[in-house]
Amino acid sequence: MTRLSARGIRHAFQGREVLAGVDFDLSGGEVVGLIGPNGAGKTTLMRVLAGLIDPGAGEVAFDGSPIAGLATEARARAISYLAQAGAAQWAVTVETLVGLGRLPHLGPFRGPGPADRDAVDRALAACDVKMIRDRPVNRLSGGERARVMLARALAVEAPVLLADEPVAGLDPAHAIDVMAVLGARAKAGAAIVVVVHDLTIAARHCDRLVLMQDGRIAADGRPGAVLSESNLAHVYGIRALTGTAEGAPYVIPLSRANPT
Amino acid sequence: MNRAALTALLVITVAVLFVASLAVGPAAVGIESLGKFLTGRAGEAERIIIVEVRLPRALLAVLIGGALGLAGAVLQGYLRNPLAEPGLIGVSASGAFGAVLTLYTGIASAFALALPLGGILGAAMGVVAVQILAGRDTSAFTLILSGIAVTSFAGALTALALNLAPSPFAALEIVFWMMGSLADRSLDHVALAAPFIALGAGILLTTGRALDALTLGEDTAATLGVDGTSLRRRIIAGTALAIGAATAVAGAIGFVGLVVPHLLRPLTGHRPAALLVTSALGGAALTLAADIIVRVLSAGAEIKLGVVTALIGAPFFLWLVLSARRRLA
Amino acid sequence: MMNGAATTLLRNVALAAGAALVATLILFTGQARAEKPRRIASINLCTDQIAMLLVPRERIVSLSFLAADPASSAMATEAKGFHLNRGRVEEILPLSPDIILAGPYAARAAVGLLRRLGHRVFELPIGESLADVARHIRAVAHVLGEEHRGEAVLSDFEARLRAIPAPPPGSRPVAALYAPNGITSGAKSLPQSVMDAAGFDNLAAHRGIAGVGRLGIEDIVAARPDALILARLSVEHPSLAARSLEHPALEAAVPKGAVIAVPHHIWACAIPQIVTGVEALANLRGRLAAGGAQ
Repeated sequence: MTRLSARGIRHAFQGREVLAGVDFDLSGGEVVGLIGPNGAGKTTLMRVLAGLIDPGAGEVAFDGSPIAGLATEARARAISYLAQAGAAQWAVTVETLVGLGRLPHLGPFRGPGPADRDAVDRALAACDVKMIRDRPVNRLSGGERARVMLARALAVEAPVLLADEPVAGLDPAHAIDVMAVLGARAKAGAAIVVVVHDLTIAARHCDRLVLMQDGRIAADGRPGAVLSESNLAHVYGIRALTGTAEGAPYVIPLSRANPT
Repeated sequence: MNRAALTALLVITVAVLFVASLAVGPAAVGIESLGKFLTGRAGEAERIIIVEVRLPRALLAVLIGGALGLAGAVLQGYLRNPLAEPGLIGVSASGAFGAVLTLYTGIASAFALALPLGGILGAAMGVVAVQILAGRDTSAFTLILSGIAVTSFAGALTALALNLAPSPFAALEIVFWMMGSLADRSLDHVALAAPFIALGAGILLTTGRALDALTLGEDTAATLGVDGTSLRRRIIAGTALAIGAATAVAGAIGFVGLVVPHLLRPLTGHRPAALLVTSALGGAALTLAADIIVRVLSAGAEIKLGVVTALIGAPFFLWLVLSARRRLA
Repeated sequence: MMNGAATTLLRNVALAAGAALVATLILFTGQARAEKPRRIASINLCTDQIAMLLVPRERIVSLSFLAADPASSAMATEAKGFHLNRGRVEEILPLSPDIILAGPYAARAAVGLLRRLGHRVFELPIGESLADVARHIRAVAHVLGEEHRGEAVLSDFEARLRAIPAPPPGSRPVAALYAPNGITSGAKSLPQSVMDAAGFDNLAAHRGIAGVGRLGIEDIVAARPDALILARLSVEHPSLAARSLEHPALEAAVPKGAVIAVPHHIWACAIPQIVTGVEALANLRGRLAAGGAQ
């Protein structure tokens, strides 16, 4: 079942067309990896899907209704967004920060209740940061901060989760942890889009990959099919060693492809 | 510290300072006179001094200090910058200019509400100017530079207006507008400012959750349901109402909005929403204390309230700048 | 400080000063008096007004800007149309005056420079009592060669003064003078002399204030004087100073009907118009004695 769908998305920024006609569907239960070279339009597409940008043309719909027409709170409960390189301005505790994910669920005069506290607990546990819940967020390591930010996004418990580079700068173990959390979330029914640069991480942890190039979708499908030799050469301009290990693909970039 | 305990402690501090403010002044009317007043045994002179002279002062210190503390906490949360403060970013100076325009042209003599309204309009222009100048840039540097620009410009316009005013006394009154004072304010001033300050504070208090969400940046806050446009409007309106009305009756009092949220932030778990009510209380306490110091220190001509708050606040500000620099280095 | 600065201003306009340099009335840098000065420039509020009383308009080339300010000058209307100066040498020199009339405080540097440039400068001392009215008028009349006109002005003044009924013997009511920003005048001052003549004791003098001093709202309320004299500033030129007289506690400090507002400019100079102040105060004292105020 399709949760989020984008049709004919075009968007220009300072005279340059960043998105040049994108159609995209996202269903519950799948982790979709959004990949592509720098400047392909991944982050802009994520921001359009999250409702942060009104695209110049086209429409994003959640469960069939355009998100532009949704009330801000309703949209906030439907779509959770994890910004790239997110940081906290103030030194609040981990638990307080994760609790911010519950804001869309609070009424104007109603504070967090037991349901909200349970959701925060689940998010803390899922990201394995329960034991540091009382620590101020300015005293976290890079891996801890990434997991805490993810926990904040999970605490919304939205049917759609958009995560922009949640594993950037993480060591392999932490990167695998974060992707595993997303996978578990999808198994529980959520629809997830994740922007990833590491092609092996993308290939092994996503159910489907969407490859972007120059504001368009160049390929969309199973990881093994999207990461073909030809796509890697034409879109990324590289030669790579590809293969399968333990039932999932891997990609090792070797050199720049010779222009043909 | 537990937030309820902190709030209770601040309320008690404000109450004690409020009583002290009623018991300090040049006339020999002290705490025992206050006791006589409360039991209905005070003489006419004592009654007038307590009710007509010192009560307006104490009430204005609470209202204006509260407005400054609250606006400081809101602006710091909104601009995500610990150096934001109505005085430093030029909102107070622009409010003073607005009030000066209505007072010295005689509009305020014909229509009393023109004074706070002039202050509110001026302050609104100040907030908008800083938002345009500093905008989304959360660096302290840009904010301080914008603040200096707005403050200097509003100060120059104020000086110009005062020099062009027909009254020969006007030019000497710039110190009041630049430094602020509560000396010899009456209940009329309280009545003029209180409704606007209360309205502004009420609007600012609605921003707590949005400010919490802004901890994560504007984008994430927007995806958490924060309506950026509505938030911006509320902050401009609330700050302009509270600070504009405060400045119109007491001049520009600096640093309260800087010092108070800073001291209280660690005690409230750094959460912007938790800082709002506590900063209002802290601002009231600091302003009451400073206004008591003013009266204790000066026998004849009172020093201006803003002199005391600046003497406390400016070294604090320097320390903040130094620690910010250390963090960057 | 606003209040300190206001004090300075009041001094500048020579309101009954504290610093008591009296002695010689005429510090006159005279060569031998030739003829009547034809081009008179004044840079002091008190000499402005005395000059207007003594000579026809066409002989005055400039007055100080305060002469035209209704808050400071008893003759603001008469001063309309004159060239107004702010006591700066460059404003005075192009007028090539025969004589420059100055006060004891304002524009000291200007006075010194004008003398160095060979100008004739007359300095009028501070007025400290009603008796100074005659002394000042005669001194200025003398340098302007208008002795007869001076005597005529004085005889009017003295007749009005004599017409005021003498205060009854016995205890005198205490009055507090409250000028903008809590300024007051104590012993050895023009207001003291006015209060004396009208039959009031001066609260400030009781407090040991001599010359210009400060009397706050709380001080006045605590002292509970019999009458309160407000040195009112004109409303058409608003200022915080003007509004400082509107504090409700002041009105409440004295019995009903015992507040009198006397224009601020009445207290500024020892000039004949000061008699209106004596009349107003004597009138209030009469009403208080008759039990008109509770």
